[in-house]
Amino acid sequence: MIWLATRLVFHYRVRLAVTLAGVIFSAYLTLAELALYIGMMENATSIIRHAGADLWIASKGVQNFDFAKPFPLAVTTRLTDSPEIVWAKPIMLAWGFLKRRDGAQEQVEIIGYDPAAPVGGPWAMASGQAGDVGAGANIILDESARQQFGDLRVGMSWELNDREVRLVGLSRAARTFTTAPLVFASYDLAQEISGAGGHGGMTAYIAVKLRQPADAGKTIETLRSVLPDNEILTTRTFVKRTILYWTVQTGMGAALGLTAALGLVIGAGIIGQTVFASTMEHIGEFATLKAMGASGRELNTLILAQSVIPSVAGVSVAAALALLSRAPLATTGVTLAVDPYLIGFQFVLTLSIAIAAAHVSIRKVRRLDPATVFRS
Amino acid sequence: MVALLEARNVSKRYGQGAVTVTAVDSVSFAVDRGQIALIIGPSGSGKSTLLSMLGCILRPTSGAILLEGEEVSALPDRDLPKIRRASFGFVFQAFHLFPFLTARENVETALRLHHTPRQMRRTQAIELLARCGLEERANFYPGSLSGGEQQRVAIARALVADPRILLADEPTASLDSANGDAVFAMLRRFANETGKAVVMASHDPKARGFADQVYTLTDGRISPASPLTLAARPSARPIRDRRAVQFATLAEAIEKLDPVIRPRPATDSAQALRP
Ligand SMILES: Nc1ncnc2c1ncn2[C@@H]1O[C@H](COP(=O)(O)OP(=O)(O)O)[C@@H](O)[C@H]1O
Ligand SMILES: [Mg+2]
Repeated sequence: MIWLATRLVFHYRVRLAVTLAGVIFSAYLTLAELALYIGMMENATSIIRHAGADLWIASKGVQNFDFAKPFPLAVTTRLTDSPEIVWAKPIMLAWGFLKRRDGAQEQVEIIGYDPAAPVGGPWAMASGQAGDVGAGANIILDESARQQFGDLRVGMSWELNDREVRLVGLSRAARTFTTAPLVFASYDLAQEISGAGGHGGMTAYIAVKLRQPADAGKTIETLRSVLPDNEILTTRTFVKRTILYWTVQTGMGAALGLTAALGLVIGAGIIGQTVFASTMEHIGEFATLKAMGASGRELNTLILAQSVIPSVAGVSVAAALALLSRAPLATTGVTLAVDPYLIGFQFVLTLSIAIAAAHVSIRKVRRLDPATVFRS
Repeated sequence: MVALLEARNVSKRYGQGAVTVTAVDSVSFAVDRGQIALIIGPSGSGKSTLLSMLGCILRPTSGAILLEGEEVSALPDRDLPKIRRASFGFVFQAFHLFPFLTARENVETALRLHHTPRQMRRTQAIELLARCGLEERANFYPGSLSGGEQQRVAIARALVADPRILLADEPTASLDSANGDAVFAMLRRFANETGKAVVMASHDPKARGFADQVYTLTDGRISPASPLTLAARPSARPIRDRRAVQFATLAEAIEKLDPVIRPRPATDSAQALRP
């Protein structure tokens, strides 16, 4: 019966083309929206996820990684002698302006970390190393900043908040949700630029590595009692909180979600309409098959296959298009996070739609009286 | 001896309550191997209704349909597709070919329902199409075949899975006279040579010449009518084993009979076939 469905589907080429175009469009729409969302969320949480820490100490009420109120670094001294903690490293966050070659000032997000143990620093390098920021006025820019700053080469001089800095490395795939380019610097330089410096220093976060990550609960409780004015978060909670913040606060979740849902609705409409129209057009042939002794199961298979074939073909093309559009979109700073899981998810969504769409036709054909074949 | 297919006091009423139509009214008759039973009657007399009951497509309101003595009209709905697939071939006035399949694929569809292996399917379909004079049309879609050719493809499809009974509802009503004759001749030949029973509804007067029994249906009531030329009845010849049948003569006859597609002048089909 799958054979019969294939012949039926491919015989009516114009209908197939229209259906395919519709399914491709709708599946691409959904896939792209979901991938955009995932891409943005990956960027928004990339530093948290790549720091290798189990716990984060932040100022009270922190909502997302990019907006942090600095607190005195002095609190770390209370941690280092704790046996559960392997290390506790400050990560400074500041906003500044990097001067472009044409003189314009571009806002950047500066991440300051300890060059000796680069927690919070870049995790993938195109050239140089995370530790290269050293003790001087050195910075690492992300490759993607070429979009704003043009040619980027190690050794170049730049002006960061009117201070001359030297580019010592290029990181890879380090972006923020805000689209402001990331500038990695030493903790000291970041602090200096932020103007928050002074007595003993300030930090945006302290990233903590535990000896027994499984026993985090106990350590968190201890830390909360020792540091009542700070927020103690696990990496997982911090990631979730950041995602929730950007999803809800920016309305982005609703906007992307709505478009993704719209894609599904369009897909459902197109597949449903095609399958039903085709069933009605071929209702005589269904009656003939029934008269010839085709079983209910065989007829269901025929209708299902008729619905599933263009759906699977359409979603495959949409997935290929999504994969192909990753690179060109990346050059414009947009991350389209299409991975096998997302494609699989889209397959399942589209297949469910195809099966639901076939259901109406299946019921129609089940009730069809084969005696209609005798009417001319 | 038990008849191959028998209707016993079969009635069909459509509708409910005050507005019922008795389409078939206490019909009894039987048909045997190698026999053609013809049912004639005006439009609305119940011919199609009777055929669909005989073919286990429609359940009688009362009475029984017996297939080799088994009361198939008493079987549950879920058993009927299997009975139809195994025992009946259907031919309709409107052909009902699958327009998206070639002639060969149309014929193969019946074998697919029987899960016949691919190679055997292909061989049998081609062979039967050839016997129906359609070897050169095997890869044509129904849309590019003449009416006569389409009906012959439909007959091949109805016969390819080797059913015992062929039910043909006005098989020539959509055809011109010469093509109609070819169809009658084919049915006659299959009945003779393969022992199939044929029940045919038709109001083509020429059909009588090909039938063993003729019944008239009037307002759902059946009565026997005598065939015109009983003496010249082609089925008077003995039934041969279907596996050993030579179809060459049939193909020849059809070739002569289809003036729409064959350049040769048409000859009278009945003449061509009679000894
Ligand atoms: N499905 C149906 N519902 C109601 N009445 C029907 C139905 N099918 C046929 N009839 C009626 O039954 C009678 C016999 O119809 P039919 O068997 O089609 O006759 P024929 O094939 O001889 O033209 C007609 O009066 C027709 O209107
Ligand atoms: Mg009729």
